[in-house]
Amino acid sequence: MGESMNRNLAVYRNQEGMEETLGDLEQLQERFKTVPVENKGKVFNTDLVFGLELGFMLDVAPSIVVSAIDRKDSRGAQARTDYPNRDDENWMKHLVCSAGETGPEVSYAPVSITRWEPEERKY
Amino acid sequence: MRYAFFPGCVSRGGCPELYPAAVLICKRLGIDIWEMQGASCTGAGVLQEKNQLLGDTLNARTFAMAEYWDLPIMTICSTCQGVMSQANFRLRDPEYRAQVNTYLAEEGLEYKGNADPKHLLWILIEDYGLDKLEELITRPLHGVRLAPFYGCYLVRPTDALQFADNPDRQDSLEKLIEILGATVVDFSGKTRCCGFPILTINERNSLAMVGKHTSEAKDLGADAMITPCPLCHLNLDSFQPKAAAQAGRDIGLPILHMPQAIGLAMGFPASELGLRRHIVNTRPLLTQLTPVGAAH
Amino acid sequence: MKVTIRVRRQDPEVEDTAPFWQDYSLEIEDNATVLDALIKIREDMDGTLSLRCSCRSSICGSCAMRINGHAGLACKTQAAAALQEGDVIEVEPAGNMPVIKDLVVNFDLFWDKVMEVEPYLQPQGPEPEGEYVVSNESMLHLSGVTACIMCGACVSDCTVMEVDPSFLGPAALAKAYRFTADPRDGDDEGVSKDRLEQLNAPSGIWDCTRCLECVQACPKGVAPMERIMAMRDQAITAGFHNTNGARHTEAFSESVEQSGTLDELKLVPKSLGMTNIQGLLNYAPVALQALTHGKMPPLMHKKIEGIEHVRRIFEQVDETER
Repeated sequence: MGESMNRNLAVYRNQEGMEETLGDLEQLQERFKTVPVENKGKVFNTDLVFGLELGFMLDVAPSIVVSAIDRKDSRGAQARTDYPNRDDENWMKHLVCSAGETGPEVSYAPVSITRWEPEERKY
Repeated sequence: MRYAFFPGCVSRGGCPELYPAAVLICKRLGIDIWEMQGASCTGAGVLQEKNQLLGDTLNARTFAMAEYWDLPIMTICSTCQGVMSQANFRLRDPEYRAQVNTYLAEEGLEYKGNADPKHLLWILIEDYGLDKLEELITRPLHGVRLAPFYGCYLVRPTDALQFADNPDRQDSLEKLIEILGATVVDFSGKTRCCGFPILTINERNSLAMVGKHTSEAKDLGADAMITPCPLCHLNLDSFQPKAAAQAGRDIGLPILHMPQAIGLAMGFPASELGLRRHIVNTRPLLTQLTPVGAAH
Repeated sequence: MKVTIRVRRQDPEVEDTAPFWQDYSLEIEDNATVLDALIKIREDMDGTLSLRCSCRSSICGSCAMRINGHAGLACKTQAAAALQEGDVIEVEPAGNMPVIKDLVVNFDLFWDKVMEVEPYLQPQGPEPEGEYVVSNESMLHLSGVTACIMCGACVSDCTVMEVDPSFLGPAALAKAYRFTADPRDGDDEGVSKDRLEQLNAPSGIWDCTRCLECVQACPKGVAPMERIMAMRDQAITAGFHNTNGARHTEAFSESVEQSGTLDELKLVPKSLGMTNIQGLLNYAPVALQALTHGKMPPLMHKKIEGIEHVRRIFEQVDETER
């Protein structure tokens, strides 16, 4: 998971790469169903903690990928090589990801602008 | 080989048996020592609590005297050695040295930064050579089990003590014990604190440290403990009976100053080495030694 | 690089809860840290091994443990540099704290002591209208202590806590210094008199043996012992002279100033207080024993050659410091 996410969902991203990772994550979720926990103890059982945490991470990782694929522009920590420009007209909005029946579902929320106008970073 | 000899306060004070023993073995080793009659106490870390600049200036004064004589400094005390090494480490900074030198000028002294004070233990390993020492051993301490006890300031902090450049310093005492023909008793307390600095402040804790280390060594089969630090000796020897009473057990572990152990292996009689001056009886240890001149 | 990691393990849930050594032989990168090796063991060899770790870059302070007998951060220790005879590295839980499991220890007492020194600013003067403005220079000396990451390496190797768990210890005392030396804490002059009074009490600053274990163990250069020494001076300067420790320091200094060396015969009674009859009697048996064995300093304490220069240096340095 870490390798695939690092490869395709670091700052520079593109459609093809992100779809590859989405596939990787599906496979990993399948494998996770039979993950073993070697340590059966109740005291400071990091083996169990890491097992549980892996499950949580496998839930959260696809939401990052699905949102990043959905957002077809570049801003902040998302630099899409296939959509290199910032597009405030269509994408000046928050993406809200929630757990759906078959995976993460994306919806949108408006950006509330107060004292400081958002503007493109030019340096 | 010639050294500017810095005996320290305790080797002539609370442990008056150390100074003659050190002088005796240096003579046998052929090491020529010029005693630094005008050198002050290093401050032992106590003066440094109050005023580090003052402590460093007093040590720079000693270093400058040795530089003037063009001789390296020899110490016989872990505490003196450590405090000097720490001061020298700070005095590497030319700006700081210049500041310190302003106080020395009136006496016509200047510390140029070239002193490299060394404990006799380090000198034996790094300058003299343990193989040469071995040639002078006439009564190897075969069968004697010796527990090393370094004294904090001879092992920490490793940067000021230049352990990286002198890796032998890490286990110098064990190396010496082996050359003397004795067996090393390794134990967890060997680089810990003897408790001496808090003797008058928290006697219970100080004695607990004495009791812990001497008991551990004794229980591991040590016949005696050997230390290059007279301050450790003061606590581990003089206060051992009291520590044993506090711990509610017998200990009775003789504590040897490093030069005394070397002297015994060179065949000197116990009386010349001041062993009778110890609080913990050394006689049982002496009966273990083979007579001088016996085949080995 | 092939290494053997020898781990001191302990499991409270099995029948025999005594600690035991377990060897793991494994192949690691030449530049791997001890923590890399432990993580590899846990992930690939033995999931039952428990240890704390997080950042892997000596920032979080989770992975303090004893490596070859001395405390340090596993993530800051190169395995290649820690190899002992037979390419073995010995790893044990941090000392002076109870073991929960394997390399994991209970930090409750550690935090209790940190809380005991009230680790927050307590200004006593009038509140300024705006921010507390202090000069850069007056804060620079604090950068060393604020680097503390609370890893517990100093506490692990403290020689006093080993025999006396009531000692505040190096971590909490270094934290106390962070406030006693802060110009905003305490009175108008920045003197934290109330704090110093507490720290001056038993189990506080005077109980440290100056053994340097904490200075050596600290992975961040906090040098707790040096902070403790600085607080001793702060306490004396703030007027707290009535401890054996303060008397010892002052008597020591006086002896070196007067004669160039230490007059041990005078040091003990002066440290205990010349009118402390009970304290003096306590030492009488040991002194008598030393006397009969001839293990005593000479009665006449000699001055060194050139003592006038030592005295002058004392005076001149003292003037500069003021």
